[in-house]
Amino acid sequence: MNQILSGNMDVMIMAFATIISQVASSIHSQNNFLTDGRVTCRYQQLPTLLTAIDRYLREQGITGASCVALECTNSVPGALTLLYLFERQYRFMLLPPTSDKEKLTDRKPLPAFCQYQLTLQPISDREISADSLHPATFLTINANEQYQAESHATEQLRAKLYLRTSGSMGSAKIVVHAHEQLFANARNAVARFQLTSADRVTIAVPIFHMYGLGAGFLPAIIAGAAIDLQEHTHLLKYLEHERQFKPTAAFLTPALCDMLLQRRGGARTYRVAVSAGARLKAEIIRAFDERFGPLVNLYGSSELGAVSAAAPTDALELRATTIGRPLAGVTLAPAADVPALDAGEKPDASASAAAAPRTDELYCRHPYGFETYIDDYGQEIAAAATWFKTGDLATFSPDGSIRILGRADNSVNRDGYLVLLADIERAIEQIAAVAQVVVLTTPDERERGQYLAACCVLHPGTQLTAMQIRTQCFDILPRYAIPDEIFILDLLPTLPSGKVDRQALITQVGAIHD
Amino acid sequence: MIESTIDQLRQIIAEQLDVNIRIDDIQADTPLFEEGLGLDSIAIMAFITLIEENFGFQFAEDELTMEPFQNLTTLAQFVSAKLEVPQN
Repeated sequence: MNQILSGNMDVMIMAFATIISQVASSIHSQNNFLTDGRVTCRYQQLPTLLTAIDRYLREQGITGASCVALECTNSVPGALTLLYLFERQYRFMLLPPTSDKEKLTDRKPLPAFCQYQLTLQPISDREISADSLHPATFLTINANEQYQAESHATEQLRAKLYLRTSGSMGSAKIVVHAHEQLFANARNAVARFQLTSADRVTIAVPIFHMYGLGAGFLPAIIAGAAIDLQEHTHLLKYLEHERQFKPTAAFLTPALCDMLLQRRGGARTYRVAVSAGARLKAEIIRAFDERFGPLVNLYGSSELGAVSAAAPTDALELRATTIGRPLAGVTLAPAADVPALDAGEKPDASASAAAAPRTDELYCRHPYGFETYIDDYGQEIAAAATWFKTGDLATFSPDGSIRILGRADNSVNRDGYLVLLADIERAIEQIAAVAQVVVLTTPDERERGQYLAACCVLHPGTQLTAMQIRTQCFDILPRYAIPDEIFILDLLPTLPSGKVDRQALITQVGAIHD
Repeated sequence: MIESTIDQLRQIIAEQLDVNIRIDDIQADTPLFEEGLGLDSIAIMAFITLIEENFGFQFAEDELTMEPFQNLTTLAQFVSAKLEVPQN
């Protein structure tokens, strides 16, 4: 367990400021550093650096009573700003940098309830020491022109984190988390991944998303581990960071795991590698294990943070095929058991005793999950229910491990993004010549995730090739949502009800492949 | 030699890579990543493989660094040097 925090129960109510001062002064962590390849800072420098940010923001009229939006990058300046906002118990929204060209759909307007927007300036120098890092050089502050104070009183509202759901491309729901709950969830992750201040953690996934933040960055900070942050990583950048940093723990995506298997030598091993965002194929985990060390699947969401993960010490087959067991305090249940559990009955002991795996929709009761959904004006849309419907289908084994089979609805996971087929259809319908479009998926895995095909019917008299439609998709869809193939059909098969017969279409598309 | 290698690389990007970049938008000094062509991690993997297939050599792991992949000029220089040295 953690060398610094040693499992003390007082930790549970410890403010983040205390955590920062502990990791900054403990002999185990004070000389550990945070790096992004350019800027490096040691834990012992954190108090001074965070105070400098505080001074700078106060000069600009920003205090802990303001609600700010941070467009966070995987950089030391980004990490420092993020730690500052947590330490001073701001309520703040985390957003991807608007410079992320490829993720067009992430570029939604700033929520109206955020008074200021903080953006990070790239550091141009090859390598600079944190001592010469002044907030004025890396942090840009803009007042939000669309700012509208919330209608309800917010003076007392502190220590909240706002995240957009990674859900469909169209919806604008914002998830509200209490900082304390996030830290509790992060401690859960520290325990499951067995992180300590002896670890060197490379974070190759964005820290503005729940995965990178809640399962990677915050746990690594709490453990006092050395941290390497990678922005917009790819194979070349990853290998370069790795040669320098020599990580013992890595937070990856399934696509990165796959790339490392193709191109990385086996000379260095990890104590633990974590993947999340989409299901990893069992054969990838087995191959990774053999060459690079234990790889675990993490399961979670923007709403709940880390939910379930195998431990690096779990047996290979458990890690290869399941998301392990739920983190401390978390209950995962088949939809059918939820009413009984709500009524206070014991989790279905008879079903476990029957020793037969069950498959059902996955529901989660999380002690550290989100509080509520709000809209861009800070109005509550819906408070979190006791049980969160994940929308995933899962197989529950008698040993308590859980295997995710895929989405229960018409959506797919691509590049770690949840994509609703209906959202892609809506986008392609905007192409003038397209009269009707149905997007479908098969269980086949392509490089960006589950296979996507768009079947289009054109308006009479229009001429457009499948290739031309796909080219237009590059302008109207984010990269991860572009169908792998486009088919132009004379008409779509229908069911007696008149609805499109998706199964028949899937068969038809399959026949084209054969 | 370098010029023709650059042209070959431009063609690979425009015609063989699934990225929707027009050949006219690719200059010898255009950065390949975010600030230039914006190749993402999947495109870069595919590009590496296509270079190997088109030029008939394999990258060693220690050759997979950012250095040669700055732009097509640096990449063409790397490819040319690689082709001059007999493969062992």
